[in-house]
Amino acid sequence: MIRNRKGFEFSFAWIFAMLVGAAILFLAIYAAMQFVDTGRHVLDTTTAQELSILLEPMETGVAEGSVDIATLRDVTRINNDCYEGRFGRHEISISTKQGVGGDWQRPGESISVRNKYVFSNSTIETGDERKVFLFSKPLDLPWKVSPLIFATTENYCFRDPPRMVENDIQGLNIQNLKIYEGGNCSIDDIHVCFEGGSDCDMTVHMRDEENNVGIVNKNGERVTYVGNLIYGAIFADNETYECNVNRLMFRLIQQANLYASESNFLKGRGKCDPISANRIRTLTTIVSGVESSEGLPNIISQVNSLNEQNRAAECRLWYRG
Amino acid sequence: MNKIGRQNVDCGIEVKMKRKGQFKIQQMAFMLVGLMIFFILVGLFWIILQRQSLYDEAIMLREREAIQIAQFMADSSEFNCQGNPGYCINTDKIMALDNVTSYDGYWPVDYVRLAQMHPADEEIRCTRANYPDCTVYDVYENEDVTSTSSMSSYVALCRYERVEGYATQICELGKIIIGYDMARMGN
Repeated sequence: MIRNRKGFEFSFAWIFAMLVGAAILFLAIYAAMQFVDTGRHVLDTTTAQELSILLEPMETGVAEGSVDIATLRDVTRINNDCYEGRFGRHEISISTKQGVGGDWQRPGESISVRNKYVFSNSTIETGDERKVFLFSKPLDLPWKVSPLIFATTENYCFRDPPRMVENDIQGLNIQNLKIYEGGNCSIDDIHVCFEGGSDCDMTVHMRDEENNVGIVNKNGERVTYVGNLIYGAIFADNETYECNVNRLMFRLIQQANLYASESNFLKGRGKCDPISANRIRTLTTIVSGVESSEGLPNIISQVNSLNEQNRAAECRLWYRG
Repeated sequence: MNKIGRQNVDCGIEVKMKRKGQFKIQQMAFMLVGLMIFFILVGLFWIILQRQSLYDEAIMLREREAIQIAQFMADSSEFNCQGNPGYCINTDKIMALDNVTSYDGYWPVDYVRLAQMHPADEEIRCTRANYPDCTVYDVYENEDVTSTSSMSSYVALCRYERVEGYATQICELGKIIIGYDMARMGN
């Protein structure tokens, strides 16, 4: 038998080692990828929870409005899904990009928020600055129904806004909202026109300036607003807006029942003589008939009437409005 | 050496080489098994660490949420006082809320309780029958959540009373106590 001593011996041990080594390497890389993916999923879920907690201080308290900027860890996509049904809820989830220019990862677990009304597009993406601009304003119909929270990531340019909107924007000093003053807005901004004009992304028509009632036209569709819902109509997509309007109307009905119950309680005990429960319940009847934002103007006259009666009563049940 | 003798020597070398090869394979297999066990143990350790840090973070987030809710719940129209917004709760409304069941599951907490600071030694549950001569108001209870911890914040507890023929707002110092489940994430 002739043996070639210079030749390379490719024994079974080598083949075995290479195969098993490759398997271990593959498993290790797969496990590492899974760990990274799970870690990212956990981080996205935590960020969603943190974001939902960040919404708590947006309850306006004694102030007429509040502003906050959330700076996130990564370039982030926030999914805000609104669900109707009784008080309804938001399902907020976060997805981030993997690496520079990578694809969006599957979103983390969604966080359910029932007691907030967040107006934004159903999906918003932060730019490279990783900022989400949040501000809130109360909805008074006639009492404070709830703070409305507006979440945006894009820059908005308001052209010829009414004094109320101008005061809000300047007063709250919201960084991504500008009032058009010739040249200070970019073509990439979302242009919101109040008195018409060209190159508008949306137009706002005020139908009743005294009661702040109007219509917002965008993407060929229109929604109706009252009071501070004007910002919801501007910043949220139509589905989210209508969903939140329905949720708010449900809460308004529950609050009206509560005020009616309080009125009966105070009167029954002879503590004071507030606005009558039956008058408050007329609002409940009207609000029950509101099926979309189009019906909002119908409740304004009743809201004004309730405000007058509450003011004239021996003891007031609410002070807002 | 004759032909048969040489064959025997060759066989002996082959047997030796085979034994050596088998030993090497066994050695490598043991090493690989050991390596796998090592990686599995490292993985398990990592998972335990991650789980603990996630649990700690969840608790911290729940605490933060409860603090925020305690601070801002007092301002919602369901609880707030007339003309005294902020850290003021209208107990007349709480008594009225007693009949309203529609808020079940609305606030993401286990319970909301109000406690009057004085008299401190007595704990009398408030009902419509004994109001306002009582000290503890069970405002809200969420059957979906089991409480494992609580947070409290000082608030004013106000109500209307008729004093010398005039409707007057009477306020007392109290605490709002929020019970929450530490391990629960989200609502």
